[in-house]
Amino acid sequence: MYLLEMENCSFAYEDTPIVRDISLRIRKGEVVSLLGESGAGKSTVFNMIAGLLVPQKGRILLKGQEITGQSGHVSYMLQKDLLLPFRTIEDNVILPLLLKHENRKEARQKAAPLFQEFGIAGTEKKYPGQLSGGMRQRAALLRTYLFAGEATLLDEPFSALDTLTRSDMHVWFLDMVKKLSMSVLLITHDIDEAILLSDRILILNERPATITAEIQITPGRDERDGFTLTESFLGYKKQILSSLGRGRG
Amino acid sequence: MKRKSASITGKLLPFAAVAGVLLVWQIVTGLGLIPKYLLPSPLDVGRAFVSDFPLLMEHARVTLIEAFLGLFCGIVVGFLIACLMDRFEPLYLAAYPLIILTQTIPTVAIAPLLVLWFGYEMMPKILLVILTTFFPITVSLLTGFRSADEDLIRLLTSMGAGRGQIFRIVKCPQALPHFFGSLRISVSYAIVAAVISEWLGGFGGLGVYMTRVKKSFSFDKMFAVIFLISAISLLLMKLVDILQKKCMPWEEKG
Repeated sequence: MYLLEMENCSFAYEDTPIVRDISLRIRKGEVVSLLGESGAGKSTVFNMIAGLLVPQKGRILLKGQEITGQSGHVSYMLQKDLLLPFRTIEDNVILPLLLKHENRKEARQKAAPLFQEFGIAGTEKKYPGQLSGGMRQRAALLRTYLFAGEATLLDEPFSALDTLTRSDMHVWFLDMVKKLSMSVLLITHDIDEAILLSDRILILNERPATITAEIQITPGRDERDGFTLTESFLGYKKQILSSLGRGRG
Repeated sequence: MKRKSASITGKLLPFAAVAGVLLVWQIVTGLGLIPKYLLPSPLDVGRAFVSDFPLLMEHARVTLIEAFLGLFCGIVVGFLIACLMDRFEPLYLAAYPLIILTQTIPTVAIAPLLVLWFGYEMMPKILLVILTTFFPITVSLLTGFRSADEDLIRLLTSMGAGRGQIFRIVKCPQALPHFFGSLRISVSYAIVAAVISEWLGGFGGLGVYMTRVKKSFSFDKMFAVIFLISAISLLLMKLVDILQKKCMPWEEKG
């Protein structure tokens, strides 16, 4: 059984078709990347799953239940951390719990052990303005996790960070996904990031956008140390580039 | 070290400038270059201030009560209007020009009318203060409410937040810096409006005191009350700054 399924979804903006007949499935604990150029329709797919856009055709299922056009089931995180500058990190993180009318004290207790797990222990009483970009993204992911940990959509979550921070975040992210057995749909235009972080990569191509290829990354996510420097990593990269129609590049 | 001494100089310079002006003033009037009945010397003003101090305080109390009551109501009115206009777009489009129109009416024209309609007691004074203070409050709060990030609102909505929760959690705190900016202006507006209103008719207040000393050509007392009004305005603005720091701790630590 799949955790999250998208069945033959199509979306058109006025008369212009944006995405056509997209199907994807994510198992529990799996990280799947949706890779495509900027403007290829990745965000449209993202918004449909998040329930912010309603597909004209097709449906979306979470644990077998239809959630097409309903927000609030799948949590998402963007390139912008969207933390509220006037709330402490702790109060930012528990926001989804407060919105569900949970008691503030209980919500804080629930979040407390996770600060350690997410590598942001000690930032509880600080304000977002006092934290680095990487730390803020960690806090944003913790908030996302507290909202609905099962299925998470990440839309280029690391692309605003500098290269060194980003590679630290990649290591951290792999660790988090494993520890919390999160199921993630990662949207990215960064080929290296997709290969490094995913179990599977779906290539979004053509206009209107549709999934043109699926690439399974065989080495397990535990064996990704130094993976980017191996022959097989390059092999995947070549395969993806040719799927994107950039074979000679 | 250098920077520290520079910042101290920066803080001292305005005081030095004021002292300089007072000194020149004292010299010019002390030497009799300008006759005393036209311009009293700063020392005369100081003496007048000390001798009339109890009376000044009594009048200041009246003015401050009017200004505070008016400012408080002005804030409440401004907040309510801003909330409604943020919530209902047609109201925003319809009422915004009307609100701007209220600001084009000269204070000196409306104040006598208010006296005519509501008498010589506090009521017309408070109304004039409300009229002059609600506008900056409304405009700044509206700007603040509307500056919220669309992506953030969408995210919270997807987390199940209702309109009221978004207003409370995002829009209100977001509007705070805007609000304090306008409050700083409004406190001095409130004092000035109250004084003008008293000037045009009343039984007490700094404006009434002003008209009395003007009629008796006591210019030293006139200047004393002007200084007092300036001092009160400055003090209140400082108070707003302190309040803002207390209400917005994230700014300081950011």
